[in-house]
Amino acid sequence: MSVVALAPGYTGTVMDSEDRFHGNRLLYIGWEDHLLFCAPVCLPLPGAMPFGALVSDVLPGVYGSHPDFEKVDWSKVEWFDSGKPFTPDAKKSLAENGLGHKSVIRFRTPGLEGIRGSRS
Amino acid sequence: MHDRVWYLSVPKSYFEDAMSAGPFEFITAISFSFEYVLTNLLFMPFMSGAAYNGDMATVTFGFSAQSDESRHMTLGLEVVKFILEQDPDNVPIVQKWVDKWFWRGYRLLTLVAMMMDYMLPKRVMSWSEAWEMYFEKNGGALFEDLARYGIRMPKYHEVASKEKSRISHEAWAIFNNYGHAANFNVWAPKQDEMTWLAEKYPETFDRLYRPRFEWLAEQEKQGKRWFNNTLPMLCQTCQIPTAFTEPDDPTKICYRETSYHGMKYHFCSDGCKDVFEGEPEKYVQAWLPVHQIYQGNCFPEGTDPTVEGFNPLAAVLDYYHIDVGADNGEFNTSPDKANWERWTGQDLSPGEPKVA
Repeated sequence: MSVVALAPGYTGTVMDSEDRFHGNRLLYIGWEDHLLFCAPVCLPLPGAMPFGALVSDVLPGVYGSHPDFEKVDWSKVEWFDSGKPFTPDAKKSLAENGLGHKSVIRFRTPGLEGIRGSRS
Repeated sequence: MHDRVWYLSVPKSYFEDAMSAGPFEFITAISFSFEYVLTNLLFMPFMSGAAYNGDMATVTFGFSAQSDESRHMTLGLEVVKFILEQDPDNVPIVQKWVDKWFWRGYRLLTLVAMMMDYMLPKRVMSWSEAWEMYFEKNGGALFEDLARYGIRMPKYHEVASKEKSRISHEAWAIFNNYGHAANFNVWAPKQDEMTWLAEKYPETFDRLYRPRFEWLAEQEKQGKRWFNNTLPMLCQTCQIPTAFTEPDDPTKICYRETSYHGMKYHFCSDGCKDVFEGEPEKYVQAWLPVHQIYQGNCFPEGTDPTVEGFNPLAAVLDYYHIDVGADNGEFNTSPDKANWERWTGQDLSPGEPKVA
């Protein structure tokens, strides 16, 4: 059963429904092998944002402080959506790339192994 | 503050989960799982750590609390045995509660692990040693005793064993990411502290954690103290940032997700995911601090976030009642450090070993 309650038919308020985020949807992003950033980040973004703009305008602000960031070769980056490999189209929007509310993506930058190779 | 500050939602959600669970689950969760199975991990290292460092006020509180705990744990164990003796149909119900509350209590203890390994000037024992002594040995004996009732060891206890060489470092890393938004100071461990950590964690510390702490110390020395300026993903169940790593690979964040009524939910572990999937109608109601901030619910009353130059972080810290520049951020530039040096005559400058 979906909850133990005093009476049948109990439902709870969904606190993070998409309509609560002022026209944005949540996207979680993780940079593999770079645990200096202790966990994936969470960002509210417009579904219409082009994926390319995520890479050029958003990621530098999030990850630019890491010494590996300027070495990233974006043509070789591997992307994952909920752990499955995916090839984003930079010109299409987040929504058109299949990224809905609370999607989680990761990117892997082969050859870059964090601070002194520690995966930090 | 307790119902606003982001990391305080971790213990708050834990206790609210128990309090809204009905009396039988509550007593299994709190008196049995927390105050019996896991209590030693809170009180022994905590109180020993306090005594070892001369904090007698905490020790006094600890002795007082422990006398209550001994009543509660006796009650908890006897109630659980009574329930198990009444009806064999109760066994899977109690097992499910034991599994859930072992995992929730274990995740809550992450903060204790961090405190033991990183925040005591004189350390008593490592988290890894405490887990071995107080859960693997003591807890193991307790569950051997309960086997006659049909109860087995809690699910994922072997994950906790795998994680014992990591969670304190992962947790201190969380606070070194977000210390600018906490109401206590944070710091990178000094060289002598890292020597102790390397000795206690020979398989993980030098390889995985020392490099990032040394990098943080280097940034601070150059006047560029680093903090993470983007909010983290939180686990829907335990509400801790999802900084925990795959049980078999400490270099990879552990991502777990499920879908409920068309929406995704994310977790730090299989244990937390199982809790959600057991009662999703309960956990969809979680007040997750990061999501609440993004919904605009964590600004002081009357704030207008559309004004020019609005600083959301400053507004959130104001909402949290944090005294910026004093309560939060780097220890080495904090009033606490200045006060300590003035009161004790010690010099806590970076590069000097911490004198207890």
